[in-house]
Amino acid sequence: MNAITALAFKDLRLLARNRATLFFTFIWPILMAVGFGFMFGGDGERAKLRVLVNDQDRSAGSQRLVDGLIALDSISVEAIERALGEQEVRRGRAVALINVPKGFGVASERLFYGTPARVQVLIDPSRKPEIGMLEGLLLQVASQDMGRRLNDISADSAWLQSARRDAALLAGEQRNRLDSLFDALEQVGPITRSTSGDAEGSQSTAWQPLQVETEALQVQRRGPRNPFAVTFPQGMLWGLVGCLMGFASGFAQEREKGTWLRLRTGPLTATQLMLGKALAALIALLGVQVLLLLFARLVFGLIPDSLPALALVVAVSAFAFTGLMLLISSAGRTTQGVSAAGWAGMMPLMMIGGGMIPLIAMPGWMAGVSAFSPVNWSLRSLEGAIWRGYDGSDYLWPLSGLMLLGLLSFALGARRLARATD
Amino acid sequence: MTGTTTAVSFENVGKRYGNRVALDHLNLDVRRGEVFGLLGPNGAGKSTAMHIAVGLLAPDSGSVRVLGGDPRQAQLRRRFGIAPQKLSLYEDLSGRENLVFFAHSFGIQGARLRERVDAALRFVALEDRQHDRVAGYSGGMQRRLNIAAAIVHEPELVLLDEPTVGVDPQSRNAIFDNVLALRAAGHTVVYTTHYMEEAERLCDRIAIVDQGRVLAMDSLEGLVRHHGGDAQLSIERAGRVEYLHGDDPVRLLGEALQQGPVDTFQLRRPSLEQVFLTLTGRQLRDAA
Repeated sequence: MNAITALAFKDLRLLARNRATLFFTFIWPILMAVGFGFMFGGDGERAKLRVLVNDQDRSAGSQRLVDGLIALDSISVEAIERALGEQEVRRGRAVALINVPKGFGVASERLFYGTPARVQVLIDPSRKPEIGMLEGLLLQVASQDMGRRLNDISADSAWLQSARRDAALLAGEQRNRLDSLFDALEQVGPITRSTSGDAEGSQSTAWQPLQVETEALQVQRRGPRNPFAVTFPQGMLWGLVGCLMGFASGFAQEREKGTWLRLRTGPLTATQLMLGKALAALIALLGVQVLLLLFARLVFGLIPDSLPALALVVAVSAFAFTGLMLLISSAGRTTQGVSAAGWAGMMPLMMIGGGMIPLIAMPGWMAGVSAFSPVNWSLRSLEGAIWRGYDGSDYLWPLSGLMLLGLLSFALGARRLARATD
Repeated sequence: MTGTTTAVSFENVGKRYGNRVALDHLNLDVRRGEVFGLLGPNGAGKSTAMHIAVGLLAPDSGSVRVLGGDPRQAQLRRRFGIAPQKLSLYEDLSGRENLVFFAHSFGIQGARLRERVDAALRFVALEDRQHDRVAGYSGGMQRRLNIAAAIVHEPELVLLDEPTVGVDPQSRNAIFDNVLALRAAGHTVVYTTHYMEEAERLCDRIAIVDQGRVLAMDSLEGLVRHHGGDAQLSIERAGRVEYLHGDDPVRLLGEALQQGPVDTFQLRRPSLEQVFLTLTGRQLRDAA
């Protein structure tokens, strides 16, 4: 362990032993995010994918499909009219709209021949991973339905009678082959074999029980899919501020108590000492954000739109707040002085930056003022990566601002601290 | 004098804080292997001199050499350690964790780290409490740990800034033993204090500092001889006390006995208190 990492490790150990700082850094932001999430309408359960269904066929076959989807734990299914459903998907409030066209029921009676049943899935293109899962679920439901019917074969099976009628309309050779197949199935009787696993797989390669046609909708306006998508970025900002203030006060305390003086008489340069402090703060600032994101993911099913973008925003925010920590540390000679100066500076930035009033709920004038707060830059970028669906260019200004702020604050704070005579 | 026998040398060092003069052409030389006392009242400039000696402050004028170099050089700083007047310890860490951290900050690692931390804990007799948090230590234990942190990297020069402030007599004696043990082990110790009995008991040489200047610098005997004045003999005869002054108290007592019987007598040697009074015109305890 070199001297700088020893410094950082020592500061993290001190953080871990200070219950008050620990609480306000890690626990308080979670409580705020969860509390406000419930207040804004969160049901407290792990969020399910919201899927809309427009059943135009209204047949027994289409109803079996809808019932099969409803029975699944991982999605929440609601019947809706097509126009309304499209609007919901365009607004990002549902993952997809499944259109079940007329004729679905008849087509679903065909097994192993002809054109299979078809559904159209209108999707929000930004949610590709969830769409892939939905396609799999649709095929799963259709396969299970097919399996149930294969387990119940007799001469008077509705689907078999329907199939014989369809086959009678075909040309001679093809009709003969299907008739032979149907005769064989009748003689076999109920099929007790499993319809899962390899058997299903081999069927689907040759003939699929359901065709899924996906079509991307142009997303018009995005809103959070989940109230926790708003409150957790806010909670992360509170965590960043709590952590920043904890380290700034700790630094002031170190100067006040004389340990900083002792360190300055050692062989480490002032720059190395600052780097050690900054490293500890950076690790803690990253840690608090990752902790909140993991909590939101595991407990509330919050899935970010872009994980790489989110990682970038988290890293840049941690860097900027590390710089601010050093600047605030240099704002006073005593713990009380630094704490007062820090809160006096950070509270207005939090108030106008979206830390108290969600950005999405701000009136126009306030949103204009908010754009000058680094809290806004960080919060907006976090929301951009989590639910706003930002493009790369959308991150350019807020993240550049945060980087610049971090560098300037670090340089100014380090300079002031190095010059300070304790 | 900045030869190899000199550990610390101040030549005409000046330092101001705004309009206030902290050091006024201060001259010092501390020899290697000695316990050197800086004796003076609060505000005399002792701590400022200490901070300049360890490179925390730059002098406004004059020159400072420590162990033959500029105390602001990082490499040189590995060779000295300071126990500041403020208890410079992390209260939420254990005594051992504090020492491990400070040793790390001097680049000590591995087996040597354990060996040095163990030795420092043993030196200040805190082995039994090494895993307790410093917040639970008594004032005397914290002072001793403060010294351990100054020597954990085995420096040649140890600077102890008022190391006995606020400690009980037992811990004070333990700290005295630590200082004498450091000298016996060959370390150079600079010891600031405003307690004369500490300077008298511990220091090989003493500099009396007041208002940023060294008023006198010598061994205890030298200071007393040059600035302490005569020994004072008091005799009691027939209920009356007489004070006799002179270079030779034995001769004075003999002359008094020739004049008649003496019930009791008391011989008072000149002390540092007398030296300070002579040099500054006031008592040290009043000035402090």
